[in-house]
Amino acid sequence: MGIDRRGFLKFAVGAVVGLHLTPIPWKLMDDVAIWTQTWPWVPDPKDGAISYRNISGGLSDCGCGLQVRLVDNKRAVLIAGNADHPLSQGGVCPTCASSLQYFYAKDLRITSPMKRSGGSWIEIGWDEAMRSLSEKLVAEREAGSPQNVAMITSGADTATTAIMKRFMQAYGSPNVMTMPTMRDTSALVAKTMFGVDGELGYDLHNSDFVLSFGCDLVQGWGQGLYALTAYEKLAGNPKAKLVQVDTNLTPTASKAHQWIPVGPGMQGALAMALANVIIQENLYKPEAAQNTFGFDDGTNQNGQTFEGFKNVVIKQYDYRKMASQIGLLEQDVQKLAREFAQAGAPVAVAGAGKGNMPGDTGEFMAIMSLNALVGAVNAKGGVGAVPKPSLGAWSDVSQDDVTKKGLENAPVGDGTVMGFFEALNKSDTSLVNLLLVDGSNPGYATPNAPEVREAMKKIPYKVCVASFFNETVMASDLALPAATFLEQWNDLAGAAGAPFPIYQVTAPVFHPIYGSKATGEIFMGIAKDMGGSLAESFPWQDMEEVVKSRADGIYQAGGGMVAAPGTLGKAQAQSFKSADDLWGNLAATGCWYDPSQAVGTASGDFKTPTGKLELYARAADGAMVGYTPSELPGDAGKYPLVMMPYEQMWIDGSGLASAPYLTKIFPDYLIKKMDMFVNINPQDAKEKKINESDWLKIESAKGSLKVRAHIDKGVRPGVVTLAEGFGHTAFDEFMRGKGVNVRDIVTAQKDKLSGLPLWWSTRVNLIKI
Amino acid sequence: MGNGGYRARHSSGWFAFVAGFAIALFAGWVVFPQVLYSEKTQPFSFSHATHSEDGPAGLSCDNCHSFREDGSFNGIPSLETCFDCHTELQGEGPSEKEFYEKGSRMLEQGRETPWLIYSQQPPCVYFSHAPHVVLANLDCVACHRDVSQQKKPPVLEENRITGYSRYVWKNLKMNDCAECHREKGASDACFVCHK
Repeated sequence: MGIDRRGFLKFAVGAVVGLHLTPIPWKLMDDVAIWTQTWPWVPDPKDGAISYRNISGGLSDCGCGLQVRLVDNKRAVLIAGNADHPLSQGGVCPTCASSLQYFYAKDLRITSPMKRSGGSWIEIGWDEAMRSLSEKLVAEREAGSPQNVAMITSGADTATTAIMKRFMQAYGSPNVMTMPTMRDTSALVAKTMFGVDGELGYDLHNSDFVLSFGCDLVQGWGQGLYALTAYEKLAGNPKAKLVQVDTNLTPTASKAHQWIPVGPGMQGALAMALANVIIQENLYKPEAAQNTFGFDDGTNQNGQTFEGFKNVVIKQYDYRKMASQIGLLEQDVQKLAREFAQAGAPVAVAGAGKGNMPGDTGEFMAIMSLNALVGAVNAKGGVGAVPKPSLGAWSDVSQDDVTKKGLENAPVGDGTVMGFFEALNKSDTSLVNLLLVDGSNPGYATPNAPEVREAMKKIPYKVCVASFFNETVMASDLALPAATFLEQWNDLAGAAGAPFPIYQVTAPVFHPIYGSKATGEIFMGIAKDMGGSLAESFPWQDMEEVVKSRADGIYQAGGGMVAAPGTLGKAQAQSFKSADDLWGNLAATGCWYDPSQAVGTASGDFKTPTGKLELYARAADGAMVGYTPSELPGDAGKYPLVMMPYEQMWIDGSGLASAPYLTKIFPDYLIKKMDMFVNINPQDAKEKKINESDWLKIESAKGSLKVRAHIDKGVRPGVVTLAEGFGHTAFDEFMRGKGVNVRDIVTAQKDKLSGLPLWWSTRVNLIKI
Repeated sequence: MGNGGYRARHSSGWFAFVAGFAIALFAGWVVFPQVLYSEKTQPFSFSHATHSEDGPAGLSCDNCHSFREDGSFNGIPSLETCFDCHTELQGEGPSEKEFYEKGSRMLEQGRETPWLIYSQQPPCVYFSHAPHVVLANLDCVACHRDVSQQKKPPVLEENRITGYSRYVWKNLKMNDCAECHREKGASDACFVCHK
């Protein structure tokens, strides 16, 4: 019996009817739905025992107190704030919060030692990498020219940077440079005016009148979470006042009780104008004269007479004349000065933006003099010089003849990163044969970055010790994978703007992954292999011993407390039975601090030659605090506008690209896909016939960038602002090629007192394209 | 003749329909489950009977399956927990020897036993043991099979599409959860389980 068409159809109908009475369609539908949950990119957090570890520092040594959440002690799933930490108090900055994405990102991390071969990278083993580097280091010493090796490292005071600097001292090269930040300026002022080895600290939580000279508190100025919690307290206190002195309407200016819009670079001028009102109207505190050197006319260390601060301010900085220069009304200056001087616990804060860029030392000193006049120095809610925590003293570096001779050479340039590269650019020869870079990204983050990358090409061999493929690694010859903060012992002394000495320790949460090694151990290993005085200079076996030796100083000095649960806000000195007892507590809590040495609590002795706060700073060759107008370089006719870079909370200031988590929160007036926006005042836009989103060329004497226009009333007329932290040519697909790097076109000036580069203002022109 | 032809065609048509219907039923109820699932065995032959209170080890359930300090449930204990007792051979059976030798090596290498979990739920399901066991006071066997007398772990029938155990299909599907929630007066809103 054959099956005809009709029979077949009936069979099929029967099968279909039957099929619907079986689990096949329903089960398949259900299973397919469940199958969609098993796709590899669907997040499926591992289940297991949850534990927490206290660490600190983060990827860029910002000083956040962190807590890592671990599953089964094997997988880190969250980095949050440590609620017992005295500065961050449970908060966490965006870079730290997103740092796990960096930690695990295989495409961002350097996963093996690599050498450049032509235009590409070749993976090599650690043995070959170390041999290549050691051979070059040995050769320079054998040739008697250790000074031909240069090093650029992070500016943070960590055990790793201490080892790196010691390596160069033992090796014999004076060419050791650190990436500059506001903390360098702060440290110089602490030394010059207070005579203290430390940095300026502010008791912001107890102040009732904060006069912020451009410090973007709500974007995370200084130790970001400390500033944010301070802002929170100020905003919640109806009797407190925050006055923001800023050229543009920054987030802090918009949230402050009052915004004082001054012209670019006029903060120092305003400080002197306010001082003028306070002195003229006799509003200054009597101790201003008693506790300072140089307030009244006097004699310097060479027996020469000088005119005192009081008379200089009265004669040179009359607020009525200054007001028009600054761009303010006389009565506004007068009113602000009166309010500030008459506040219960006023403080003036120096250091613009987030504090990632060096400041004008003169401006800092002017602001400190204002603090001195109103009695804010070493007062509750005021400012002081916070000494560095007492770290364990290391034995002297063992130096042989080669080392000693090498160190006799003057550093290339002026000892700063920018000076070094400038000297290289001017020279026909390479000046150094080997450049070591650790914990920094000078090829991106140095002002005039293209010139830096050009200068780097002159150096025959460049070695980067880094965790990620950044711009400097891409321009080097050998890349060594460095362990991140989660994989090594390290510490961090001090925190920007913190009111008390603080010392943080991080114990490794994991063994190094992706073939990385602790930077300090790499260089201690090289020193030991090289033998002789180099090996003798490094008696430690590993970074744990190094950190422990530094922490031992804290025990020896006594005092202070660890950030144990329940201790926050309770300033009680703890006694530790032994150095090991303190060490165990430090490793567990991640943080020691000494509130008894806090600004306004400690006596705050001045360690200057005169034993007073020096307004006539003898340490700076008799520099009298004041304001010197400085003309921006460049042709004002050709470049009629002033470009000011600005920093944001989501952007790390050390040259690290933001993690993908953070790129999701960039507003579209900052960056739209790959296009970046320059902010311009409507008045300037109208004059130049620029409309919103127009493509522009922003041109300075150093170069030009292609950006789009965003018209913003918050930008001062004559000024344009451009965000920091974009235009990366390295890192991952989410940040590479996004926007432009403002540091490519800034014209940096040298600060007269510190020699550090200042790039807060650059003359530019906008050309519609 | 004409009528006879019609009847023959009509009956053969019904036959074709019934044949298709029957084959589909057979395929759906007999063949499909066999094709859909593959059989997986546990990495070690673990005997709950040996470990239970009535067995030689004399352990209670919560010696191995317990709540952590934070209230989360540990599920299957870690290899480290097993080796709290198996620091040396516990008996002379071949299963114990195999576990002791392989387990020791895995422990050294920091590896965990890749136990197959019969009650594993997809990640879209948020399930916490604490409200069920501590608050609702449910017995383990309300959801899991009684394993106290089990001498060797049953074969896990793994769904080739989803990768989950067939056991889930039997009585730990969403409807089972929802039904119990309704019976006990607990909320059966979506967001209770799907966060």
